[in-house]
Amino acid sequence: MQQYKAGFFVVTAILALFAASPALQRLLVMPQTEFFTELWLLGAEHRAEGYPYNVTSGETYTVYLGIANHLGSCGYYVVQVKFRNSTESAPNSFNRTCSTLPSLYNLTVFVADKAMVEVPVTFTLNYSLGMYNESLPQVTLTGIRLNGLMLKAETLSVWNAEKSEFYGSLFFELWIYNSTTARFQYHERYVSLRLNLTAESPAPA
Amino acid sequence: MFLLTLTLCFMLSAVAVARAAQEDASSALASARDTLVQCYSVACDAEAAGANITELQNRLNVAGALLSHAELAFSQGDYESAASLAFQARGALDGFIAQADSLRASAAEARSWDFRINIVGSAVASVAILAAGAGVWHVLKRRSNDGA
Repeated sequence: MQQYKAGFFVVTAILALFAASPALQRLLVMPQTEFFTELWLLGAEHRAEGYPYNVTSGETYTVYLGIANHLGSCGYYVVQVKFRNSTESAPNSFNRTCSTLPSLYNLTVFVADKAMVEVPVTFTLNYSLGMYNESLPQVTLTGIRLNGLMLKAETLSVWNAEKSEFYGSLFFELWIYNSTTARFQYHERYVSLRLNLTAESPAPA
Repeated sequence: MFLLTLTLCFMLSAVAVARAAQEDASSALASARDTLVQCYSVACDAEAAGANITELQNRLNVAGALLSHAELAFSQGDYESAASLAFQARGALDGFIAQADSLRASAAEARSWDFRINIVGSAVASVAILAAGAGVWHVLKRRSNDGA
């Protein structure tokens, strides 16, 4: 009988562990240690490619803005939509600062914990080609239509001969509601679209 | 002189009307923002209790989109649209708190049952198996000794 003792108790222990597995499953969960939010931008085909670059005045383009919440609780976000030329204030990933430019539009987004929300963003830039001086062409932006809403955006972009573009950047800064201070604070994340505000290369003098 | 006074009165009343519209819109916006924050807070509570808040999230996003439109209209001086959109944003959240509370209560109940069945039940079953094993071993051992 003694030679079966170890085998008998091992089988009993395995059965006991099997019965205890629902409890152990809940007790032995590794705690979440990293709390963060993902922010991304996808092209018109829902892929990380095919982003609009050469944009024509009056044409409509579509991108998808995605937010995934890994904060451990529901998140209340505001995405500030901004537009800048090459000399205007930009957000900085290293210093974790936002652009000082005013927001053209605030997208309000709520995301449950471990969930994601994707927002289609259609935009149309209205601009006209002119001359900055005798030799330097410029583009004057007069407005942006975003998701069917007309936004006031007045800026100009001069021709960059080196890169052959009228630089413009449409960017999206992520802000989050802080329940303690009852204010929105910059969540240190942004995504941007580099744009060339012409489909035709001008012939600089 | 009379015409000048009349024009001045008309201008002043127009300014007063515009200011009143601005104040109304501003107040409606503030109210909508407060409602959104309050609903967000109860949605978080429901989520913390273990509820699936996808439906609440969708409702909040509908109201949030209306609030964003209202803020844009306000910034463009369209106070009438701003006030109307702000009211719509609040309206989109009618009954939200009751819905969130109901989800929270259901989640708490489900969690209680889950605790009883999965934690207490499996722990009791595990102890019972160990006890039964020891009992069976004891009986088998005694029979073995009696047989010898």
